[in-house]
Amino acid sequence: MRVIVIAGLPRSGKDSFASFLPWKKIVYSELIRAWAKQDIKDKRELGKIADKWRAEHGKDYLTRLALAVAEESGEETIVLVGPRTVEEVEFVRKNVPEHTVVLVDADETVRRKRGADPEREKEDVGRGLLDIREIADVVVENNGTLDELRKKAEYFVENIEYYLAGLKSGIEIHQQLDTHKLFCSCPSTLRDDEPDVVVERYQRPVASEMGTFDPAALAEFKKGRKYIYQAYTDTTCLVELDEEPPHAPNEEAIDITLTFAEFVHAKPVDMAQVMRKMVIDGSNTSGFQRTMLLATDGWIDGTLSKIRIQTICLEEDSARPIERSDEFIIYRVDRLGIPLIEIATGPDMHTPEEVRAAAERIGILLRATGKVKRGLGTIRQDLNISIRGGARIEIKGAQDLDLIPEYVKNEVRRQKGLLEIRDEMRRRGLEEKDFEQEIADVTDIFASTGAKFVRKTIERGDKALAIRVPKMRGLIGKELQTNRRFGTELSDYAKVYAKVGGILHSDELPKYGITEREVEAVRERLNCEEDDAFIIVVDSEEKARKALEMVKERLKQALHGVPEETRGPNPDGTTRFMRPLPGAARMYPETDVPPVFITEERLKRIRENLPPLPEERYEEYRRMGLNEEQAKTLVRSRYVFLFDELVAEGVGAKTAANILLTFLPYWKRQGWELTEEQIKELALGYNKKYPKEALDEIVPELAKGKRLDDVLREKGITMLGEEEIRKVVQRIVEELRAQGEEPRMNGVMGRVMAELKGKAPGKVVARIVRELL
Amino acid sequence: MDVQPGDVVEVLKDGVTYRGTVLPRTEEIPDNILVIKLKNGYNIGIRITPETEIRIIAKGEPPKKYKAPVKVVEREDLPTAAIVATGGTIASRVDYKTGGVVAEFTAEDFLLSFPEIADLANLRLKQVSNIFSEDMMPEYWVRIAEGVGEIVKDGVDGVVITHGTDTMHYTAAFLSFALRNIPVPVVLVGAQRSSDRPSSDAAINLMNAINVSVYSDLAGTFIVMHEGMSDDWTTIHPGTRARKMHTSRRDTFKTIGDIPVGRSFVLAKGGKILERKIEIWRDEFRKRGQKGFTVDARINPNVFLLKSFPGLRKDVFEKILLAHDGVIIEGTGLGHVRQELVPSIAEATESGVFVGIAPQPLFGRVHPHVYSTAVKMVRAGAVYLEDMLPETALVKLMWALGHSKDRDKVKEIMLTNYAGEITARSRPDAFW
Repeated sequence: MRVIVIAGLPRSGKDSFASFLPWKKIVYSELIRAWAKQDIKDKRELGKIADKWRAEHGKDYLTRLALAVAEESGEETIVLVGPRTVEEVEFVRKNVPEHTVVLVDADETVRRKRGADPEREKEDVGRGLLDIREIADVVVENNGTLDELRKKAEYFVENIEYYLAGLKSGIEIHQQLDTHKLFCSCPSTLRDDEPDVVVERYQRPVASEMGTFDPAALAEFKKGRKYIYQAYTDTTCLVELDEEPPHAPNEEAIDITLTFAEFVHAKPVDMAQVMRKMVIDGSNTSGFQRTMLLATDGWIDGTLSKIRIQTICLEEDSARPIERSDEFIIYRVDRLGIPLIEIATGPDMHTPEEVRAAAERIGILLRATGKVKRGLGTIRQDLNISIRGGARIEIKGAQDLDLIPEYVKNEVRRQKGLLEIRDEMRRRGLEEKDFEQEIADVTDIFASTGAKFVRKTIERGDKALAIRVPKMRGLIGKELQTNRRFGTELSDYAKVYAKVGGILHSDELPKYGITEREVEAVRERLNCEEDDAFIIVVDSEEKARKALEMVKERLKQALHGVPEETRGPNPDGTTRFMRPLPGAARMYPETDVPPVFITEERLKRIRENLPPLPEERYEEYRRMGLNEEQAKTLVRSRYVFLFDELVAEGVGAKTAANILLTFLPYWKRQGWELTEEQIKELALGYNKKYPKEALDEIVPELAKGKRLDDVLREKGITMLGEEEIRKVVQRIVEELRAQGEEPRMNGVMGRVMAELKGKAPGKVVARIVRELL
Repeated sequence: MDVQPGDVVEVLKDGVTYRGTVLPRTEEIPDNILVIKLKNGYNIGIRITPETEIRIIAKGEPPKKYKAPVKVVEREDLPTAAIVATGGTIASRVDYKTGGVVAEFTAEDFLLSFPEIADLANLRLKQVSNIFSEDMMPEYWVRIAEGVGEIVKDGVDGVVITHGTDTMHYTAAFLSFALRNIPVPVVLVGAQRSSDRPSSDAAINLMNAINVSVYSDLAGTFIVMHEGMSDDWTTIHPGTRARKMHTSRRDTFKTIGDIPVGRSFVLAKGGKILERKIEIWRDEFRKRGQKGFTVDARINPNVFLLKSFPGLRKDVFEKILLAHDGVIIEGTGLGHVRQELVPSIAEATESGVFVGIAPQPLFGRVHPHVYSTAVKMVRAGAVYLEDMLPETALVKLMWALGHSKDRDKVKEIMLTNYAGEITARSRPDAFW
């Protein structure tokens, strides 16, 4: 049975919301009325009866009753409407695996307007109704119209699978700012040419107050890895190389962050202390990332209710990894120090589409500041995902917005699958000690195998090692994401920790040229029972052994469900294991940088100069006469600020839109790339310095890096005044008449345009010809 | 409300609830700001207004007793190095709860932070002062010299002095003169990035300093610091010719006007020493085991280092000269002051002040005869100090004046090369 609990204060709209749901409803007030066998109209009277029952039979009594009624109905999905106490909700949470608790919420003023009785409300609050908010899975905000509520209910129904699974997702967005670096004056420029400075360093963990080390940092130190930093004398400086203390923080970057904070209604802190967040992989030359918390407690609109923006930080980007090996990592410090806004939402998204929408909305608001970088790698999303009974997973560095719902869907599927495997393992009576199996050498079995990759490595002197996996037959091959099985999860662990190519498991064999006979031989060697599985790793003995140890660890974890992990996104929407979820960030103050005080004056200046929001721009552009499509495209375009500038300098809105939205993409396709400065010159001279017919002649020259005035001079392109055009038209008309021809529109136009090629706009010529004929 | 650092509080302001641990305020933060560390690790400040509500959730606990979880084991097969600490953060620990940095100086702390050292040498630790290097005073040099004297007489294979980098070359110069005929290397070492950072150069500098102090055949006073920006080779500088040449780079120290003594390299991986190398380029310093060690640390610090510059006021110049027992003038070019100032030099030397001339360009030798001004200065009693670095000359003059009040005797000491401060030959390769 699947149970949907809907709670809410009187007049919050919980009954209306329930009425839009297509499943059987059990309404608590009706239940009381029916059970009391009295037709009681007064709701407060009903409440009193319920209280009496709660006192006599326990605070969850009504839910037990409701579920009994539900059971009897034989319905698969039941909606429980109007519980009043936490216990009534808790009973469902404890006893019905597939459930969701919805709190319908309306502001006090709205409830009053709808005629809520304050006395009755007070009684419900006394019963603990507000505490239900703390345990609710979903909040539905209902301060609008009934139609809006209906739409929310429809969305809820469409996505009921995710609500019942208890999907919770939050995102962390990192956006590069389009300014100079955060703690020095270097430009935020990424480069692909040969670096001319190379510095080699080692890093070591710093002991904590109690003399202990972060285990991850210690492990990294033990590897003794060298970090090689590449730099450029002309775009990076001693600060990136950790050879000079940081300069004062970039004030513009702070302003941009505070502008974004305003967009999402977040509250700036009064003073921000720049912190050192320890990093262990050498990606910062200093060994820590500098970061400051600038605002908290904001929100954006979600589908059913607001999505909290918990923190807004400003931090420095890390160095770019160029090459990795066991001995060293090469980083390029061109990216190190680029200002990043880091935005963290609450775990408030409950459907895959909601996650995408939130990421998109935050991205739009970031771009609305006008000061963020665009293009691949300039915005990175980390997704946090969990389902009920599962665990928090972080998917690191998702770049493609359209793949976000896929990652979420696939993760829900993976966690559900792992929970099923757990249940099945427990049903089969498995325990951790069952996976403590001896590692056996099966190299001889594969000495002359038909599987080429196995034979080749064995010929090189590698070993084939195997373990028996008791009672796991069929489970290792269970698919968790498209083309990714439980075996793939085991394989990921082996790959990450032991650097082997992968594993072979019995659920997929015979395959790859490994024969049934070889499989049987392995089963025999390992003393496999009928329902046992086995796993083989072919590599150097040391690596293969380590790989199998890691596989054992992962198998043991499977008994507990979903392990907390950081996972990497794959281009097909699936994810792979990267590392365990890191512990809490280790931070201490950056004493080289003074605290940042955020004054009222600064906030006032920012609030008075807020750029318009995309929706405000859209309305404005429509008013300027752009059509729907143009306005919509422009709002999302990187050229939106250039557009505003052009219009402010007197270019017509339609002309500016045409140039930016129609011509520019066309020129790009031709391979004619223009700088913003050139676009501006072109727009300002449009049909003033040159006729638009000359554009195809002008633009290729500009793309070579020339200035507009030089191109016009070289090509002899000028713009004739109306009087001069009139003279030419008059002369041609007279010439035609002299030749005895009757001048017609098309004939005259053709001859005039041929003569004035590149000197007069056709529109003006046509008007003058028409006048003179 | 009586809120103390360490207390866990909830602060309600403008509809936002902040929860965190109260931190001590640093000097740059005004009184009306409450600084707390949030659970996510960030420190923020909240301006307390009459409307702000503060609730104490839990009172702070006194800091726990700490003992470094390391055991020091002496190994018979290893030489012994003395570590003399003068101040600054050598071994640091970080308190993530409050954000503070704790600096300690015990063998255990040392080995906790630099486990490789257990592979290099057995340690004797001695703290002689605990000050920033910019607060260093000549009296402390004497204390350091005497401290080193005691340790060396007890018998160690080398001495390493940890020292702030700002004035390290002054201390090095002094020890070069005061530790006469020392039989072992005394190596000054420091860090340009403090040791509370993962990227600190402290460990590599320290390992190399120990390497040079116990494994080289050198004797005398040296500075060992990064050779370049990479964690690679370190340079062994002569104590009298090293100079801090960059405010912040790791390779800040350079040997000026001569070539370095040599270089040292230690490769460590995961807390173990894998490889160590020493190259020596200056054979005159290979004197390990020399006899006749004495600590000769008498000084008179009433000495001034004066930079000659266009516009230097005559009255000030004169006052400075007459207020000291000795003055080193950083002469421009080959060693000059404005002609107008020459009579003041005469007046000073006549009243018994020693006036020495050192090269403002740092590289090269001052010369008393090429220009007539110099000739006049010599006639006024100024002593041209060859290619002695100005700071070295200053320290040496304090030392010389500690030995004699007689100007001729002082002049003799100043012009005698004790520790490489004066070279006989100007090497063509000693300028970069």
